[in-house]
Amino acid sequence: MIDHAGEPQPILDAAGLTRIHGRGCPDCLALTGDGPGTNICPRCRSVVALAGVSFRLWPGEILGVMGESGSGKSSLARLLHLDDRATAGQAWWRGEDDDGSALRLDLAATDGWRARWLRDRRLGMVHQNPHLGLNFAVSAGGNIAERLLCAGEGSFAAVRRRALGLLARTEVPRGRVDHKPGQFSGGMQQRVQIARALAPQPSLLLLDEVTTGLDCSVQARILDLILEIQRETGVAMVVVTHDLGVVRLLAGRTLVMRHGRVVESGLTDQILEDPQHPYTQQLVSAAL
Amino acid sequence: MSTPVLIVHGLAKGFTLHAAGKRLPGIEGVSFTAAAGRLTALVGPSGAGKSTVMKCIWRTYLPDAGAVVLRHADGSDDLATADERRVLELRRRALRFVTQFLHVLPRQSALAVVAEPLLGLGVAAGEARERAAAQLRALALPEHLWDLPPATFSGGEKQRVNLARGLVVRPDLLLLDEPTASLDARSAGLVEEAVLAAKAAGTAVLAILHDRALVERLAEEVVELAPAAAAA
Ligand SMILES: Nc1ncnc2c1ncn2[C@@H]1O[C@H](COP(=O)(O)OP(=O)(O)O)[C@@H](O)[C@H]1O
Ligand SMILES: [Mg+2]
Ligand SMILES: [Zn+2]
Repeated sequence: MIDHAGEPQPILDAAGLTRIHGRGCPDCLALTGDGPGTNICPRCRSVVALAGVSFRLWPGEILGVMGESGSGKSSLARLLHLDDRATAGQAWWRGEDDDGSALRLDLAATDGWRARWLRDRRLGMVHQNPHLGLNFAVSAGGNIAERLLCAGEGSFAAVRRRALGLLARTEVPRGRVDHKPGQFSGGMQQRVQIARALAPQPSLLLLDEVTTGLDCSVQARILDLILEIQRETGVAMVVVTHDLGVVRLLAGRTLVMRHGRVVESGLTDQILEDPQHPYTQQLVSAAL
Repeated sequence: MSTPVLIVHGLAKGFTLHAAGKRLPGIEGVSFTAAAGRLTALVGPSGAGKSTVMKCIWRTYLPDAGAVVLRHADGSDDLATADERRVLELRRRALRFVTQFLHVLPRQSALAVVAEPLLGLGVAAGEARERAAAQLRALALPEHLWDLPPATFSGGEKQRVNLARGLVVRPDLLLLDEPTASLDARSAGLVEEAVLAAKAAGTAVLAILHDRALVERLAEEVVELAPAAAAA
């Protein structure tokens, strides 16, 4: 993605992303956050899930988003996947239209057919809960096929071939392709979800706590798989997690979130070894 | 005397521990240079801040003050203030850090581990494998190990893979943290030869070295660090 003067452009440029659940009042932002120590506005009881979140994501980059439960990580992933609408702010995505021409869309303000087009062809999402990311009524192969069909793949033979290739890449055994997700272990379900998310060759992959709740050894193998796939495809990723080990392994840069705000951002090794914010210091020392 | 590749000037780094309400001193006023084709040894007692200096250059630590200027093929950057994306770019291209711990994908072969940084720079796969092979050969890693993941290797073999991965991009500056610590004599000898070869190829090497004899053999310059005064 080279624009004029050969300067690479970010594939995502988010500025001031804010999501308030509830009717909101003029004081919601001032009365929540790190200082007050809450994300619930004491005046109007609205929940400030995200407040003024800004960051850039560069082509081929893996950005970590780290924070405790309730800090707003999933809210951010949902906004970027157009599963929810921002109360304020922008998230400019840059990529290509179907005909290859350059396209710039604000993920926080796109709806209708363009939103569906983005979800079907340009964005991928892997959820912690496989029920959110998979259709449990159809086979593993069917799950991939569905998505390929949504992305405009027409020929049945090509869909079958691509689906088998994707499942092979995520190491779902060939003999299990016709099994339904309910028959799989948690780790195998995540492999199917990853294959499904990757099916349209998205330019941006969002991963929300994809290894949370899995056995340690299963986690490690899935993280390796994610890293391998990133290196092969160059897909940019936003990796949302409460787990420092996950950002350590995957992310070059990391945002630390609390009460819907980014309290600190930096190189992942710097965040983990030289955290600046008191909250990050507490998170890191608790994990030691 | 060649122009310096690295200019560290007035570098200071302390640590504020918010929960404990404490300030740990770290380093202060550290200045030195490192030149192409020469090894600069960082020496000093434990606690003097050798690793802190290294980590400030690598930017794992955010310096409090001072400059860390790296001069490379595309110009120069102050690593103390460069933006994160630029630091990541320089880590790929111009600046490599070899620590004792090799952290790689478990299923990657030694050859792939060494070729990977080249792929990251856009070198074609075939050429990357060739250059990685040449680097492993130069470090005398037996050829039957090349297709195996380094996880099962001996300490000396791992360290050579590690070094090969650092050297294969022909960095302007190579950071080494006790490169021969805990290696047997033969492996240590091979690592020393590799360091000499890197210098001969024009890389500036900055190394934390504990062994005085090693400093004598390898270093052109010695930077002696003394512990910073404890904060009141
Ligand atoms: N639909 C919603 N209605 C009300 N509050 C919500 C809704 N979705 C999320 N929240 C609140 O927003 C905050 C951030 O939640 P979430 O983004 O899920 O955090 P995380 O993923 O970091 O655990 C929480 O306080 C959560 O309860
Ligand atoms: Mg969540
Ligand atoms: Zn309010």
